[in-house]
Amino acid sequence: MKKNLLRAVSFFSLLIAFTSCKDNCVETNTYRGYESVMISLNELRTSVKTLAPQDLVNPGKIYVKDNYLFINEVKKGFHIIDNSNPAAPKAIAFIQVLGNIDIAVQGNILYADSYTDFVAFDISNPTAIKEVSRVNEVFTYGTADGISWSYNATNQTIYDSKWKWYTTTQEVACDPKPYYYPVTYESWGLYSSFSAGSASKGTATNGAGVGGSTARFAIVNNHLYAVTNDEMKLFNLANPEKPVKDASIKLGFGIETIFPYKDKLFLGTTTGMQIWNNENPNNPTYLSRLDHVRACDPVVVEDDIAYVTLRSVNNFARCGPAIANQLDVIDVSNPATPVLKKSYEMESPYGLGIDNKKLFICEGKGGLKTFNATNPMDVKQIQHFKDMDTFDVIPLNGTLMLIGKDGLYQYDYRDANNLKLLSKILVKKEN
Amino acid sequence: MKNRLTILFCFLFSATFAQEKTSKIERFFQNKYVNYTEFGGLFGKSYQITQMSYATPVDGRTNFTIQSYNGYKIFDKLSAGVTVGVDWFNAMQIVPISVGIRNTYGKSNTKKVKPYIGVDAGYGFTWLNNDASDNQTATGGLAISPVLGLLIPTGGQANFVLSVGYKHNAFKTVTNSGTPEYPTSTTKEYELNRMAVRLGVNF
Repeated sequence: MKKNLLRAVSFFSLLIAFTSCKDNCVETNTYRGYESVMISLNELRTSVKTLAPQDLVNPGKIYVKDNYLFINEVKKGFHIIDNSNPAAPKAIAFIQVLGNIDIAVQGNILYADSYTDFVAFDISNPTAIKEVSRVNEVFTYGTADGISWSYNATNQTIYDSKWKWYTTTQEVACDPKPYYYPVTYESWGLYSSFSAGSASKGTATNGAGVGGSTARFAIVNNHLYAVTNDEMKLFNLANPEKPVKDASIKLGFGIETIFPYKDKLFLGTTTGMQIWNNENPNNPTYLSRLDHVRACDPVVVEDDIAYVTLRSVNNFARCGPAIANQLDVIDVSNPATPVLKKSYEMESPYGLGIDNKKLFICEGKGGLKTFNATNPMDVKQIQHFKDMDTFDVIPLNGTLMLIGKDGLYQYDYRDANNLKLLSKILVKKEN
Repeated sequence: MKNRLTILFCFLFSATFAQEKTSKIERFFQNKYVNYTEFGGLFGKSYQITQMSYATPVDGRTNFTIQSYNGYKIFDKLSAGVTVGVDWFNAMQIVPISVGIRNTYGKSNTKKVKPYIGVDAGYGFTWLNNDASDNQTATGGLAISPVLGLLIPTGGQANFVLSVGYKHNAFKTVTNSGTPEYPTSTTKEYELNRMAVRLGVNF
């Protein structure tokens, strides 16, 4: 009996040992790629709708007008928040505008881009917003959140993509070998810039709101300046409800942000800062530039000092191979010859904002840093708020509005040494 | 990490250190304690699969293994214990810690060659992989090893051991790569099935 058992066990052991001695290795890749989306002009123009308040999902730029706060939902539309009490902001509505990235407000009219179109809304009653006019087919391409879209005029279709998570599972060799992920060739050719914002308290003119100077939109003297990657498009707002497309000015490539200051326009580009003379708002003229290594870089200006952050990005295509992460302080008292005064090292700076020598810098995943810039040659860090993913900030009348991947945070910064959190609206996490 | 290794080695050699202390322990080791310490090779094959297709060649794989079984005689021929070892695979070094049994056949005091069978089942730890990159985490997995072998008397208390068996090791690595914009996560699940041929001593 025992012998039989032994034989059986031996037999089966040998069988297993010799027939199945093969290594099996399975690799599961999870990566973020794109899925293409096509939108017809008709679809685009009928998409505008006022919806009930929605959760923040993928917030973009922010814009402030009086007691209202507008938060862009990347390429989906914008949220309207009643912010008369920053400690208790109240969502009023969500306006669905496909392809919307930037917003600017003057008086009771809100201007928004919608892929290729430029749309004006009457917001005199924020609970019942109406489209009042539209300039058709102004923009031909753009980028937000790392994804570019383009407009094909011949078939009147917008070609866009959206992020998608892909999972692939396959059997692979068991010895690790260098592996090249599909996404590396999927991502070529992206000249993105969901660029960082900067508060443009600048010289917003009468009745205009305040945006992150990200704002590729800026309103000065009844003119709206919209910068695309390589152009500045002017809109005449003399009749606010019927904006008229004016000149387009070639700028070179890699334009990211526009910041109006006095009678100048400061452009943040991936290769440097440009200054344009805007004494004649119909026809801004090139004044000067200050080049630097390629990097993502918004700019803000206060008291003839420009603050520019440079951020290196791993992805070459995005903003360039810069290795620097820094804050540059530039003397622009003579706008024809800007002078770099000093650089400060940073972690990964996105947007920045300044109000009365109180400087706020978003550090992306590094959170928010506050600085005392009383002496631009000796900018001192005061506070550092971690555990936030931030990219845009607007300091205005004692309330700091901070937007990031996690949502909207508002701080009381009247005591610059001790910011107080007033409220937050968090992004609704999927799954 | 170092602590774990120290404990591991203390455990492995505790037998030797403890032997001289008291006669009670001495008696335990003479009568009840069983040790199999072996080294050998793990033989298997692995397809050279590329990203695009199954490439034709099948590569042979040979990896080094050592293990030490420390058991307690429940019956005269059957013992139960703990096996600790190290398997040097190409991708990773695994420390399997298993519970196991060994059963010998034939008379206890014979001077003839005795067959035995054994099985170990446990968990393979990945402690020895310090060089894994920062963005990689490794987790161990199931380790099973049934063996049959021969005990060849040396003339003294000990026997030489010659065994053939099967060894299954599983482990997993998760690598997070890419940029913040293009994150990529790669999970690789290894299932290594090998024939184990070992030499060693038993006492």
